[in-house]
Amino acid sequence: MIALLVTLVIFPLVGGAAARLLRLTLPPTRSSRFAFTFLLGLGVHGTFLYILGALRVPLGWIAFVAPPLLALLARGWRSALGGPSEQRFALSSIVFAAPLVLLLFASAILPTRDYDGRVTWLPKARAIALESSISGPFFHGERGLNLHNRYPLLLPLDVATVMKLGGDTRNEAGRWLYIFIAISALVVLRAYLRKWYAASGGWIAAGVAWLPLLTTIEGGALAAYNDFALAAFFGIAVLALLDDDARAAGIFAAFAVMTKNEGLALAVAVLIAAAVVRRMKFSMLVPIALAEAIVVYCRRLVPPAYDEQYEVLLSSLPRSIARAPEAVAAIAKHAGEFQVWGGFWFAVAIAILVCAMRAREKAFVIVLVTIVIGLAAYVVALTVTSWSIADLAPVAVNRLLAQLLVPATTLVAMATHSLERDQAARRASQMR
Amino acid sequence: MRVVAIVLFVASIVLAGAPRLREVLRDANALAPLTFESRRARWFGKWYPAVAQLRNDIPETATVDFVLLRPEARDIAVLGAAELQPRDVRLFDGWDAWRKRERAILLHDDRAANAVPGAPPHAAQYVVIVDPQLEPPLRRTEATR
Repeated sequence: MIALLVTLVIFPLVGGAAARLLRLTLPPTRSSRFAFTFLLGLGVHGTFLYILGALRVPLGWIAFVAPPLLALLARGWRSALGGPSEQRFALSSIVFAAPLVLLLFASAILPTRDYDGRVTWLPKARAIALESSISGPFFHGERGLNLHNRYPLLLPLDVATVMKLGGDTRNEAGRWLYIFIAISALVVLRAYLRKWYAASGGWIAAGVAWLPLLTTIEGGALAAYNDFALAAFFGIAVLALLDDDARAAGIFAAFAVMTKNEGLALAVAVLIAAAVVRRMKFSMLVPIALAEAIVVYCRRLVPPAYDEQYEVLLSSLPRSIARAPEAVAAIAKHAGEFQVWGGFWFAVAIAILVCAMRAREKAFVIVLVTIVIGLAAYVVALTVTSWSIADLAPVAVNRLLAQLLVPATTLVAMATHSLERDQAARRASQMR
Repeated sequence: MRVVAIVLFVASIVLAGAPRLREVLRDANALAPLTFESRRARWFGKWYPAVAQLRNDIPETATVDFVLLRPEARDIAVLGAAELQPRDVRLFDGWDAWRKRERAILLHDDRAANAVPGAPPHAAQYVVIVDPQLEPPLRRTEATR
């Protein structure tokens, strides 16, 4: 119960104050503002601790409570968390909320079950909470088994906060944080889709809330895998870019960099999309560069252990290129898995064709570029991996595809809305 | 056209998602009456109560050697080591490796940074054998073969 309280108070508080301080554009409704500030708070709080950790400042109680205390003093959180409630009641709201409420109920009961969360990510959070450091004995192989020692630590730092302040270092201390990340991402997505694409947007978001992927043990919304966190940060960066808030786009893309290694590729996708539509600003580049600097610096504080050597893997790309078609086929095969995705990616493919014919605007270019670059990065990753693609794809591809959930859903809503515009235009011409 | 597109999209996902959601809720309902420890034990299987017992018996500051008696022991050894954190658990592939103090290499990949974390460890205060075919699959031993 304390973990729930800490999760729902600390991060929105920090996020609310940060949103005001950084003058970020907030989503349109009260619920989506709360969700947005929750995610922003995760990023800002984790970054603050990451910097302290890099400077080898002990991450004790003072470090964990400093951001929320500063947020309370700044007071900006109050205005950021306000705002209008839902524009009007809609049936799609019930369809959207029902599965998420049920997932929340399941999250309260089920133990954390995913393998990578239990052996890779949560032990890092527990070590930070217990050792007050991101480079303590655990990270030097002197206090238990640490797999993938050099992975980015934004989320473990947030989970460590919940563990420390909640006085509970069991795996389940972080479960509220993970489920609220997935829910918050969908709530913010829905608010923007309703703003831009009206009822079409609301219904498309409602459908996505039922994705079987959310209930998957490995990499689903109840898992501690961090793929939904990456999907949330990257997704909001794309939504912010669509909303013409380059600063917010850069900040959320920076959080993606500090969440998982593939976050860098997705942040680059956001930058390229911004450059293509001429919305690139210096304010986007700075946080992403700083985030990568923090990750690279902290990586050097600890020895590698079961870590990928990306420079070695990437340099082997010319020799591995013959595997690229197999990688593409593996991604396509998993995207088409009905029991994981329903018809989602099939709809995305059709939406690309529809938008290419009817909605060739900046928004389409932005989401298309981010999806294409994201997919290209995954193809390269599968191509150069030391694993056999047939072994790796079943455990990795759906989680990677989940990271593209927000721009892909936006594309479907955009296409659907373009059909509506078409109908309206046809009706108007008939009237004339 | 728009309505048809939306209905097809939502229906295709709900048709796939609802049964999965029902399964998750059924799991949650089945586990709800139990304590959290019992839920874990029910879900994870027989290795978990064995690790929970070790957690009760071994102090948090202790060092623990896990000796894996067969390759299939790796999964539960890794999960068990995480559950025993902050105890310093070291993994060894069999008694030979344990005697030579050579940590288990869990991932054989010449293009990854496979440095085994930490220096070769001294003998631990506790030795645990790990074998999924044993009952319990993780058990303390005084034996030093």
